Amino acid sequence: MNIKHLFGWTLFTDIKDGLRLTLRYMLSKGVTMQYPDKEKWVTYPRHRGHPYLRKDSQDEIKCVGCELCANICPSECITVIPYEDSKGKRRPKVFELDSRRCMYCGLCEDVCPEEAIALGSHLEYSTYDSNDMVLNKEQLLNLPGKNEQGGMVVPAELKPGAQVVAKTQDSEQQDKHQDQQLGQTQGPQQGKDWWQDIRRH
Amino acid sequence: MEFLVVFLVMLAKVIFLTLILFILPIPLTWMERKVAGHIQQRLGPMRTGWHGLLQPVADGIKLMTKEDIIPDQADRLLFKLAPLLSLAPPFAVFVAIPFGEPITIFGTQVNLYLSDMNVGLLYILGVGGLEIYGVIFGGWASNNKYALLGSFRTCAQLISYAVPMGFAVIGVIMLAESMNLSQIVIAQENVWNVVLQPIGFIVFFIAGLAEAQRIPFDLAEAEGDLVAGYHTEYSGMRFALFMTSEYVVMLTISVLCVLLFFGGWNGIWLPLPPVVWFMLKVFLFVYLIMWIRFTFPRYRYDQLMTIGWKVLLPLSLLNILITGLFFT
Repeated sequence: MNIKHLFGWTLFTDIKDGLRLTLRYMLSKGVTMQYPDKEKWVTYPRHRGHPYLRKDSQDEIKCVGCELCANICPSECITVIPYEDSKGKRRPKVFELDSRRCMYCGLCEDVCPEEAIALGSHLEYSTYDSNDMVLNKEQLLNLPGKNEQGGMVVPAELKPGAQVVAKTQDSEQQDKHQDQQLGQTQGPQQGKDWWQDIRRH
Repeated sequence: MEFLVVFLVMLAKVIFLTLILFILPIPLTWMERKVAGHIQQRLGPMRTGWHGLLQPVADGIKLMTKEDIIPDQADRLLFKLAPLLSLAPPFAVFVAIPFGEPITIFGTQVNLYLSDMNVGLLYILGVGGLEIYGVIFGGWASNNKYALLGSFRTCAQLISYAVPMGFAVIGVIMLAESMNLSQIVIAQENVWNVVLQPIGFIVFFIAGLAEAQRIPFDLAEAEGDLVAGYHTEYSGMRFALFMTSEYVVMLTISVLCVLLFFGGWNGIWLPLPPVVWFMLKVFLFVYLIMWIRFTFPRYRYDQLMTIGWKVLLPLSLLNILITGLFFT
């Protein structure tokens, strides 16, 4: 035991260091995300959420009803019945996806030759009736797609029907089109990977 | 007629003080949870009211509506008596405490104390020793051998830390040449006692933390380790009374530290009223106690007793020796 260490011990240096550390933690920002009534987590682009169907630039559904996704799905949750539409193209007459069975593996997205089905960012879809979770073609076309830039916390509010909606800067730009832009962060200094800035030691 | 006026003023002061001491633990619980949250890098209560300000109200409603369970073979009278016995002595201590210089209300001069005893400090130390009875009664009346053992340990802790607490204030009494608390504060007008008696302050503060059973000395309640020591079997409002008494004792320790060592209501370079200075200093001490709570782990029981007898008592005697040799 050296003298300097003992002298510091009588002057409470170890206690002082402990108290200084907790003071620094006291003055730094809390890491809590106040979900769902004030903040919402924006998922990364690679996040595997609920599957959605895409439309091409002529606002026509991309899916050609080849049934590759239905055959590769390990949970057998997709039902596709193709038909010939008025323009002579092959399209799906029935496209049903059972969310109760889907395990979000992404194999349907990998195998699709038209890039028509992909896994998006839809997160909050709890319902009271489990039959509401079998989605048809129209519902799948309206689901939100992948986020352009994720990994941040944005201000949000809780709407009726258990929907946590992010507050974007211009309110018309809601979750209307797919591949959405939630990148503007108006949250208090919370950009991408904001937790890396919290001081630790 | 004169007697009636004096009596009414005294009654008003008693009622006012009792109300404040009952209501003050409520915002203190909120402050404790917020300080705990921010030290642990989280936010604390945020939803009940603005930033959780209605959380104590929710806690109060919960405690009042809980079922009142009395164990089967427990001693019913002692079981019901123990929380009250634990609550009364901290309130009785506040009888001798002055809160500031006399102020004038409606033309009459009102002293800010309930009783200006010449042996005020001795009274406080004596009545403070009565807090042990609530612990003993609670542990015995629970009909639970672990609660009984918990109450033994708590009782031993309280008794063994009351000794250095008493010795630490002897230095203060020597400097002020009086046990009257108002005199002690007046004697600190030029220099606070903490400058002249640092060892005395440290011994008193640590012994006070142990008397209030706060971390790092809260082995008896040890929320998370043991079940809860002597107040295991208590639920609902009886438990709330035990917790209230713990907060009032913590307030007592803060008030005593401020009065005896930090100049009471004497202020530095800000011309605030003395009562405001007093409350500010007490608030800082309460904050310091809460800060210490969430920084340090708790002591094991043998370490606790070692500190009480083998470290604090010799230090307090050393303090008396140094004060006697150099300062008087």
